[in-house]
Amino acid sequence: MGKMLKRIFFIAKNHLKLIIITSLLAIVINVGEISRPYIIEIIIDEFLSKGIVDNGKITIMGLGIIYIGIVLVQYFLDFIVSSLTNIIGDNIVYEIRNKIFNFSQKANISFHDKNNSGKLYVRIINDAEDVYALFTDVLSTFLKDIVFIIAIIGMMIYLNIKLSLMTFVIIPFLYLTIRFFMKILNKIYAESKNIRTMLNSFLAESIYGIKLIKIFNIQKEKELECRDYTNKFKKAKFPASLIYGLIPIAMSFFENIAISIVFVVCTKHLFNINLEVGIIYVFVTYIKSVFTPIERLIDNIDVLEDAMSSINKIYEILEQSDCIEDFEAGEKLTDVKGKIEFKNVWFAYEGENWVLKDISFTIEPGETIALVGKTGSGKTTITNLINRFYDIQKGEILLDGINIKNINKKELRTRIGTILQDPFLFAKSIKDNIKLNREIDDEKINKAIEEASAKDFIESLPNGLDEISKERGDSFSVGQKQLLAFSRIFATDPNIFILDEATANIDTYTESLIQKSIDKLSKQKTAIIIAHRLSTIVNVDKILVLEYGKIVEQGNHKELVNSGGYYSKLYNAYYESLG
Amino acid sequence: MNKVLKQWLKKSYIKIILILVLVFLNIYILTYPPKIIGNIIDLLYDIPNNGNEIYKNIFYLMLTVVGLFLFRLPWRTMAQNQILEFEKMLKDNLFTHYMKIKMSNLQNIKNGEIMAFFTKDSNEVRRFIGFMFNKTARIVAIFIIATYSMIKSINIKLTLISLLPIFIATLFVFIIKEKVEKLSSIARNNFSKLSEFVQESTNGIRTIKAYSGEDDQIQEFEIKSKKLRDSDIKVSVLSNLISTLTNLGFGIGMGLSILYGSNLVINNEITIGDLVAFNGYITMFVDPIIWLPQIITKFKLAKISYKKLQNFFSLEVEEIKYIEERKGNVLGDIVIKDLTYNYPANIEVALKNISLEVKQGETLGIIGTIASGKTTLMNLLLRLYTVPRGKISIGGIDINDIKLEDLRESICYITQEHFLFSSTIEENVKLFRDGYTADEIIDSTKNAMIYEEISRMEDGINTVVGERGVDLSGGQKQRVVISRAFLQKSNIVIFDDTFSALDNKTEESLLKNIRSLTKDKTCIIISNRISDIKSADKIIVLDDGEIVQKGKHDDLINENGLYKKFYLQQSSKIDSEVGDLIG
Repeated sequence: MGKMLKRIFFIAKNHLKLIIITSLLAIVINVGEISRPYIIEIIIDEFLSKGIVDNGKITIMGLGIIYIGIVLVQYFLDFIVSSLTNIIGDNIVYEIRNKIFNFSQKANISFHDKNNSGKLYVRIINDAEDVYALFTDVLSTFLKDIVFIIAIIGMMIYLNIKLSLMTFVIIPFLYLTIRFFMKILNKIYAESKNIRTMLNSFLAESIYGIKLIKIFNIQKEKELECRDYTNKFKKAKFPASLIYGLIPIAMSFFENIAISIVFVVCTKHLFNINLEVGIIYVFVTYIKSVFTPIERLIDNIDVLEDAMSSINKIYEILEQSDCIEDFEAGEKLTDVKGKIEFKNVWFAYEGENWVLKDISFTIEPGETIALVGKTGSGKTTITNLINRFYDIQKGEILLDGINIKNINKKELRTRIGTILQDPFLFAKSIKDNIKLNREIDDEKINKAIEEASAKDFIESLPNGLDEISKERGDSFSVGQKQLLAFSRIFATDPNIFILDEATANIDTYTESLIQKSIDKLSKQKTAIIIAHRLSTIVNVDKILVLEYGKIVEQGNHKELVNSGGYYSKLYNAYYESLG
Repeated sequence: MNKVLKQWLKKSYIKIILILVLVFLNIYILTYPPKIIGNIIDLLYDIPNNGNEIYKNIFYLMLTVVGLFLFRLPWRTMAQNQILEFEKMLKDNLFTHYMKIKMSNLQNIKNGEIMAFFTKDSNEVRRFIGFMFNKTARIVAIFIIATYSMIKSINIKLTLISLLPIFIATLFVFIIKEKVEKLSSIARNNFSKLSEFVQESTNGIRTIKAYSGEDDQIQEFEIKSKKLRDSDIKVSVLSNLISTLTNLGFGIGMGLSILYGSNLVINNEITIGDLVAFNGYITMFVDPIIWLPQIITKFKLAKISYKKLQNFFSLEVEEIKYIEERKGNVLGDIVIKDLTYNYPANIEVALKNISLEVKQGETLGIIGTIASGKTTLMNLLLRLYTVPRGKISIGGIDINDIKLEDLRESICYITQEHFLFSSTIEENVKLFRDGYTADEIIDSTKNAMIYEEISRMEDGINTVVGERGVDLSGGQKQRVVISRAFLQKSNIVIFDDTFSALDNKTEESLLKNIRSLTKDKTCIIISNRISDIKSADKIIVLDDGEIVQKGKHDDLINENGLYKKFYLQQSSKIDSEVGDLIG
């Protein structure tokens, strides 16, 4: 709990002044609220009971005007307080969102491996929203309500301590009942939330896999599964309605018990209590008004629960501060030649599960190498290490003789152009997708798409370079996306070029275009290719054959075929398959 | 959608009526406490004479609690139960419908949108129904019963004077509400823009990092986030104005009731107790007045969602006709006659004059350029899209006359997307169906060349994969999917570009296994690699929706055409290299 409060405090830190001001104003509002029954008391006892309209000091009319005056001031302030609360809440959400987003952008790839994009989305969008509810719905009313309850109790004691103490008898019972209800509600919420998550992920999966479901004729099985989830959800939620049915009844029970105590005590003149009728009226009104905030408190319990767990989840993310990449540190490069050396590199994504074991190799400037091996042999890992998406545990990676740990990360990455297997496109125009926020003029872009042989395909689009890509580039084939990725490289001219060849089938024409770009780039730059096509492999300067994180063979195609090792077997199998 | 509503109303209408009756009874009971307290206040002025009378009234006060218990509890639980029932019914119906919708109708709907039907839109409609039960019914009841009580037991003029400011305030509220709606839709728009941006930035993080675009992303995010914040603030402030107006209406109404009521007391037209009771009645209006403008918002939101769901429900479903009563497998002879096809609402022709014949026991190889219609042809074979009559027959029957279930049962189609459900590997192989022995399942994974890798996993075949489990590599996923072909006893087996992530060795063994599996079956292999299809009994080459070549491997490589071009491209480099080696 202490940790929780600290977190809330930290979130609210920038707005403490406003929060204090709103809290103080809330007290003023409460004073108004509490004084109103008191005015009625005066009217009842001083005027109505005596049958007069003017007691020499003030008239009923005067009191009525004061009453309405209080109403006006009270609600004017109320408007200001609630608007301020909303402004605080919205600003807090704004800050939190920025903070998480900022974090997620600056966090390293290990972090993103652990926190998939769906999870981050929920943190930035939904969880932040829960925090808003915490500050507006809960904390502001919560504070106001607590102050109100205390003030009411204070007023009652001030009016008549003995009578107050008599009515306070119900407080322990009330407390126990509320705690009992809250406990049950918490349980119900946890359970139904769980089932809702299960139902929703089931739905998401079924939606995504609809074609498969149809092809394999398992609609019925899936329907039954769905029914099972919806049924469970209904059952889990039903008890909540029972509790919500009971709470107002319990509240009205306690309310009427307390009111009855007041009436009985006053009728019997217990403990010599002899009150004017107006005072009794005030007591009854106060008792009634205390129950509204209490009910509101119970109503807000799930908002509070959600917010607390959301804050915890947000902090789970923000606390991984060791994942943040430092973009300031490190050497700036001047003239990059493009020599890459791996010296006894050991790497594990986690613990001691070595993905790369004692890897050493050198790529001279301008050389092209191919990484060959089965899935899981460590090919992609090697390219990720050159980009410094991950840091190695043992050994050294050098660029032009400088340990890449000492090179500025941003600088390093701009020197390396990477093409992923399935390049990612943003839902922006083709032009922006090639520019990627960098300063590149139109002329250069036109040159780049020409060099990447992407011009024909781009010009065949209805809007050419201004054509907007669908989410994730869904409107383009993998081959087309690779052509665009090549255009990105040609537009920025990095020193080192990394390509993860697509495994998906690409039609022969597009493939020949891609091949052209590969040839061009590997002539100009140091190139590292995760190769799947023999045609690529036979042309490179050096082939590294990887198996289970080790380099088992290296050399050019001829050497390796002649050596009769792993590669030659692979090659022969392929050759025979063609017959 | 109307159907669901009707179904629910039909099932629950008695309960709904009962719920409405209970609401009125509840409100009726709630008018008693103010009256009783008013009475007691009057009685308190002469305690010695009224002792018993006071106790009697206190007893009545407690009786109202009993009354509430008797009516409120069943009302709330019944209402909530009906709402939950509705929600379940809606989701079940949505899902069943979704399972049956024709694929052609799903082309233009994003997955996220469909998910929203199940979550956001269902909730919106459910919330409105809940609101009708919990709030609207109460609003009506309170307006009728409380006003009646005020007029009847106290004073009509006092009632009118005190309620006047409340109704004036409500009028203003309705005017402001319009403006709030407009601002809210702007805010919603900003929200979806922000959330789309977040989705994209988190999905594309590797690309962003590779070109060091983090700062630009952060900047853009902050701009969008700020826009959302500002529009949200506007909405909240205006909404606060609404509640302030309502509260003011009440406060002033209270003040007026005291002023005018005191006058009435002085003139002995009502008692002090009546005035107190009247105060109690006015407070009963607080909640309904707050809820009243909410009805419009809730209704508007529900209407949008309702329409969306309505549209979704009206999407055409696949017919399941029982023309030919056949159990299970259809014979595997496939005959396609002069088939031309274009996707609904698409001008481009996807398939042109396709004619071909495959007999059971034969293997057909399909090769072609990208978007040449290979997958379209398969989609039609499975009747995922409507097939023109008389064009495709299987086992001698027009596929429109084959029961859809039987058709799909007879065809095992392994697609290029290797999609796994978040469940165990076993479930993913047998696809949630029972009736396979453990040996059969293991054999199928052996045949698909994935058995060894599975048995190396800690939980073996019970390893959970997918979103909440182990993330398999692309090649592993493909082979898990391929296992299905070995398990199912379909007469027709199709592999659509399913070997792309496999290395040559594995692929070779797998092809061997497939040949022995499909010895007596119809087998279709779609691939861009000559090696996958060269041993097929028949090969067709597709280009731009047309069959441009037909024949066997040995013939096709000698023919001038696309096939030879593919062949040369895939083997030329090897030949020259091999030549070098030998030489």
